[in-house]
Amino acid sequence: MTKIVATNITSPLGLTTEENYAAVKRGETCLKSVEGCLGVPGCVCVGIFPDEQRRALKLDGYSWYESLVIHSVKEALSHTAVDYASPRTIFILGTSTAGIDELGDVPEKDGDFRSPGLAAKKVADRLGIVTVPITVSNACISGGTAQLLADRLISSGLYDVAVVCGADVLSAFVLAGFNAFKAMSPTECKPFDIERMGLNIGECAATVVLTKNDDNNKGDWFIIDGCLNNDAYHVSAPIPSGDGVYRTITNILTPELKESLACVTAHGTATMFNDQMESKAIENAGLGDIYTTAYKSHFGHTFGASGIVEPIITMCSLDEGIILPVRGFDEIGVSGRIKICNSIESTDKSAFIKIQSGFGGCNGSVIYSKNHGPIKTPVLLDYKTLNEIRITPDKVMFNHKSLSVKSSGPDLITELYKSFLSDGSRFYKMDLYSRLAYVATGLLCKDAIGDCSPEDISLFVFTQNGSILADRKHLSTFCTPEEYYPSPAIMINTLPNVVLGEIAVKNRIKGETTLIILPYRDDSIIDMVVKASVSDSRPSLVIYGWVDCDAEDSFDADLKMLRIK
Amino acid sequence: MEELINTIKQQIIDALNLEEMTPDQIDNDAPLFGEGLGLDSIDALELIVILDKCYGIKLKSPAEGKEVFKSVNCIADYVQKNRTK
Repeated sequence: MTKIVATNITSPLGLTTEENYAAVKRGETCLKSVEGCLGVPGCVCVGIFPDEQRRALKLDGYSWYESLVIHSVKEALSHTAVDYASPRTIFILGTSTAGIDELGDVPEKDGDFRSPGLAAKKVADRLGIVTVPITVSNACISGGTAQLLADRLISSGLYDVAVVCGADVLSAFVLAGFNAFKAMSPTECKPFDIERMGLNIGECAATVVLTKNDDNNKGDWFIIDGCLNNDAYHVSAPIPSGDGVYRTITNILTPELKESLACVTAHGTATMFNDQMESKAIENAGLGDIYTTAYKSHFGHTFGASGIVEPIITMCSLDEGIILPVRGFDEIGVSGRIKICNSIESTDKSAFIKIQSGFGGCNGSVIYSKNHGPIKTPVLLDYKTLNEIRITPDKVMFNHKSLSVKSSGPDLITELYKSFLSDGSRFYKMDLYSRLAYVATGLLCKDAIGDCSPEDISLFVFTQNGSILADRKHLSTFCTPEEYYPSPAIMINTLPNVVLGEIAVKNRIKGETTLIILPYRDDSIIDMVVKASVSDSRPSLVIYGWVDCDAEDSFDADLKMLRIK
Repeated sequence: MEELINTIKQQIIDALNLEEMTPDQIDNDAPLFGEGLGLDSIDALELIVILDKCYGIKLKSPAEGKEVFKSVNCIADYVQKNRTK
């Protein structure tokens, strides 16, 4: 449990939490139809910063994404006296793409090129934060994952303060991808409505500053608990029953907490599949009788930011004793029996649950409350290493023994797949980084999972370059308006956590699956994150380690499987 | 028609990375999804891109492609009637 001491929202609706909340309360939206937006043919409906505002916020020498993050974090920190320059302060970012489109402007190997991990480092340096920043990239649930990680690191006693920022920006890269996915609504989205036609993409940075509880509360909000998992169903579609989200809710919702909830703040993307699935999860978790609200018709889907901006809006509304309606909602269009908030409703409760789901099969729930709950005490872990694997372009080591292989480079990974897995999976559709992670975890799990229940297996992958090869390939599919054919199969691989979904489907992993990007490999951070996470969620088996690939002939997978006693 | 069918098969193999598969291994009438080739929803979206890129046919959604993508014969038939390039 951690205390929220400051917040910020930087969106087209405003540059502070107060401005954004006031705009949402007035029922405003930043969504608008734009012709030829960022080079995308035709008309798209998006939540985009006007040019003038963009120019004002953009910092020289920093990308648009970095500029937004810096603005949001600085504004949040101006409201609190926390010592953010202390080695006891951690900076955690949540993003799905980190403004990767700037890749197109920067030559390969250029010193100025920045992966999301290096972008985070650059931002941290500018802000004066001295610890190595951690970037969570769990697609649409990145913001929630980042807050839960912060909560775990503080609860474990490793840090006193966490600055957590979720951000994603609109780019030709993201628009082309979602266009290819046919998931974008041509008009303002209508969450949970019978006539909903998909999502709108928005851009935003949102920040929460967290500290350990110091018994000096002035109406502060707390993160009480959270849970993450994978539904092991499909990389780009949630399980229709809503089982993944359902399990994240029921895992943390005690009868007392349930009684305290004012509302559910849903993901509510307004895609057919998401809203339907969420309605089933909410109903089955016994939350169909309290109000469900959602804000994507105000901001659009802001991906990495959504898991932070949306709970901040609910905190503001509950501070005023009200629940805000779902803009654009008119007639229920989901089969789960839930109560969509359709007008401003009053409440005397001051707690809520935020639910979210994303590509790669990941789901997450976080409970926020003004009444602080019991303080978790860190558990000492007793574990045993079951298997270890290391794959480099010319060598494979399994439990410290060299495997005899004929090929090297990318062919080596295909050889391993053919020799040991050959499972009719989507292997050949994956980029090299995904293939590497898929094969390495496949070898680790082979005959090792035994009778361990899928819900009790967790997966943590750390990387520096993530999906960089797929990113470059995706860019090449829409370089000119005449040759504008973005490929959904390539686009899906540009989300570095999607391979965790492939691995989860293949190996029946239904516990937490998290992808973390670091500026460079640092095993002490990897161990710290895994231990803090595992001592909170208590799985029986953990697969974790480093997977990186920055060129066809340059890759490294170094993973372990642990049994937690 | 035979030539168009073979071209489409090769385009499907290339775009969907159907490793180690040749056009003559794909049955003209076999279903592409579920049983048969076992394609999934992302592949369906990729087929929409093929129609646009190679034949100038614009389908709006996978739902619209449901009938078209039943089999290679169905795709060839649809392409012949609707192609703009």
